[in-house]
Amino acid sequence: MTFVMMLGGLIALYASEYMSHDVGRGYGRFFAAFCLFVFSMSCLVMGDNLFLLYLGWEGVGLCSYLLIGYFYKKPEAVAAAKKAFIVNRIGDLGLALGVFLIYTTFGTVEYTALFQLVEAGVDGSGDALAGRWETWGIPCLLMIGAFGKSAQLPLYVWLPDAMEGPTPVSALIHAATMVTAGIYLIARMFPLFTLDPNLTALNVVAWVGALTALLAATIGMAQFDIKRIMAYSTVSQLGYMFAGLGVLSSTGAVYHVFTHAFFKAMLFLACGAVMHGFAGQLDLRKLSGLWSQKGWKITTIAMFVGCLNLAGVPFMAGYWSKDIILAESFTRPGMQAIGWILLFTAGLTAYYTFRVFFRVFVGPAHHEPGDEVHDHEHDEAGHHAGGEESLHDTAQHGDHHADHFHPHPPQFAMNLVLGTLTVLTLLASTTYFLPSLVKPGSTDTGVFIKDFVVASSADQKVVHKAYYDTHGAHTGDEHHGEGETHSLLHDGGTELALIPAVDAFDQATDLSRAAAAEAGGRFAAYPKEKAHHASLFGFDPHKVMYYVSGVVGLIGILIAAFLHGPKGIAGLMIGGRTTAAEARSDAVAAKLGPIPKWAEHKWYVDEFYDLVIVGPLRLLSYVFQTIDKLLVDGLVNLAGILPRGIAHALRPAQNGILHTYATGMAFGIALVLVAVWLVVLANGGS
Amino acid sequence: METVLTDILTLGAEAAHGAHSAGASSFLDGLRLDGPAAWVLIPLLPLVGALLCLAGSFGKVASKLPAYLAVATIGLAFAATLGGLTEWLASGAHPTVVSVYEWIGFQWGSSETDRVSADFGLYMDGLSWL
Repeated sequence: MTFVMMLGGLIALYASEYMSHDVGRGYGRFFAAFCLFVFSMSCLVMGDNLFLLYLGWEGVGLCSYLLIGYFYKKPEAVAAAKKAFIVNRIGDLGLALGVFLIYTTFGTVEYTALFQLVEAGVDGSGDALAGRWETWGIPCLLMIGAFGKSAQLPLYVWLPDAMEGPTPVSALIHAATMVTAGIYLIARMFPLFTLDPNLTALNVVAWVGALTALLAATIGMAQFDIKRIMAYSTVSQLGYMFAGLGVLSSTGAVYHVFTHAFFKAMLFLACGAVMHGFAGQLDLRKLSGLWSQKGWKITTIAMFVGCLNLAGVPFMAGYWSKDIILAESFTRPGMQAIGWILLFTAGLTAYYTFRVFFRVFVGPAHHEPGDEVHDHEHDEAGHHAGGEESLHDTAQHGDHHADHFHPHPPQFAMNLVLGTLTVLTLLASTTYFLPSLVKPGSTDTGVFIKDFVVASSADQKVVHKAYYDTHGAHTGDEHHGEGETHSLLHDGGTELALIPAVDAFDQATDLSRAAAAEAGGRFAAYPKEKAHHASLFGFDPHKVMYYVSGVVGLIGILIAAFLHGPKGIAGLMIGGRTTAAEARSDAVAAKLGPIPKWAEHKWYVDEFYDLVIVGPLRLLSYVFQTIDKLLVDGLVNLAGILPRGIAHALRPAQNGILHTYATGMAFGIALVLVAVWLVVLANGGS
Repeated sequence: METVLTDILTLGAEAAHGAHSAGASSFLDGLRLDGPAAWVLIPLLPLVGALLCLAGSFGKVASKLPAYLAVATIGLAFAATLGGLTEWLASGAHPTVVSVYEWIGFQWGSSETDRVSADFGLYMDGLSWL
């Protein structure tokens, strides 16, 4: 909550300048939705029951919709808003069903009562939960909800499109806070997730997270729109967090949420400053050397610090949190593959992050304005004050000739926010060395975040103990075992004191021991020592990862420097780019054949969804439409057609011509006469 | 109705305490059910901001006033968060519940289980504060 409010306030300040073209009616609408979002987010995070969480969940979804579709005259923005809303609904269905199932199982939605029941391992009526389908059913449903909100496979497609919204919104909602709601949900419900001895849901979470991280990173490498690159990197980093949760490193996941919020918000705001200053230009081939242009120094520094964090360069916030997740996935039995995927993705991340930096912020100065060029004299006259006119009207702005274009570097408010965020991000890096706030007196490193997590439901170690204690499967020497663990770890080397994930380590032990005792559990094959010393080339993975991931990050940066860096010092002496539009990467891309093209088109996932889901739905709706037209409407129409047909047949009789009427009358009289005559005859008249 | 829930919670809290003294610790240790009501300001302030901005949007305010309102309310909420966090840490960093009012409450039968209720309340632990 602290970081949501902190970033919320800062981004609102940034937005006050960013949205200055819209002063008037749209301005109030924007900030109303913005505040409503902060309110919804606090309901989501601080609520004491699942209904309140659901209220916040839908509230942030609504605000997200309102803010993505803020430029409602832009068709793409409206389409993106609809897409985000609809894709989110799929996930929300899972969450709603999960909440209902929790209610029917436990008879309560209040966290305190719920956690007590879960700790005791019983449902609402006091029956034991072990072996029941609800133990994996509830987590799986909640997991679908989390995937929708946090943009994971297969529901991630809405997030990159959400970048149509104003950049402050992208920074706050679609990078820092709302999208981490899924992580929060799983962390909050960790006791429920760990009830299942097979950890079905968490294993799925781990794999989905890792694959999303990889897929999004490959797409991000081939995009040219810097904001979209950041969007894909968000999807990718969210994948890391899910993988962290999946491998039982709730500390790592929450730490990554925390650090990612700062540096990703900053990266987005830096991109936003570029977009604001260059009239919507976001193509990295058309911008270069911002550092050497007047007024862009702070933006460049902010971007540089953000990129260092995202790339996981040693001693940056992103490095610490990413490493916990990486190391944990290597220590978890059966999860090494995830570790490799994530490690590879870390390299890709470093590459595409610094691709942006080397292309846009250093090198020869060059810029081409985007299509939202607006007239400066008009600006200074107080914009289009009031009324609907104040909405971004790109067509109107586009009229101005590019020759008159002057980029306007960020002013006081934006620079202040960027500067503050730079400092905060650097401070976030030091949280690793801060002492614990929750348990004063502790001198370990890496406990600042861990103790926050341990003092919450995300610490699932205790739950396990209670659960397996209840079922008599516990051997009773757990505390002794834990002591052993610690001593083993500390025997391993002094470096280990640095490792923040010792706790998660213990959790894994608890788990494997308890599951082994349960007989037939999946960890039975892994004796305790193995679970602890699952090694990477014979070294302790925690220690190794601090070097390996740092090196992988640096390799990624060097490749980016070689392919995209400009000539000279800034390109680390190996870059060779002399113009904005061309770089060595073009030659490499040409050699790779169609692959970069596919990646640029997001592996055609949208088209695939169109074909597989939207297409059949369209077809089905066409069939239903036809049936509706023929059968339902048909019957109703038949009721109308019959009288109309009869009327049509009779209508010529009333043509208003006297002769016809006279003829009719004559025939009528004749008919009556004949009838009378026949009647008389029939009565045997004389 | 209320008393039943309170009973469950109190029993649970006692059970957690008991477990603590027996050696096995729980993240629900030291659960407090009477958190400071002032913490409600944290979600409330942005809501007030939202309403004011909405009013400004209907009133066609043609200045940067909505932005300053937003910054001010969220900033105050941030200050309230920091204050609350300090208070929470000082009180021993145990999970704390603040109940404001019963938000949803249905009873459709005579049995105690034939009801659904949810408070508008806050549940503050390490995860929520962060």
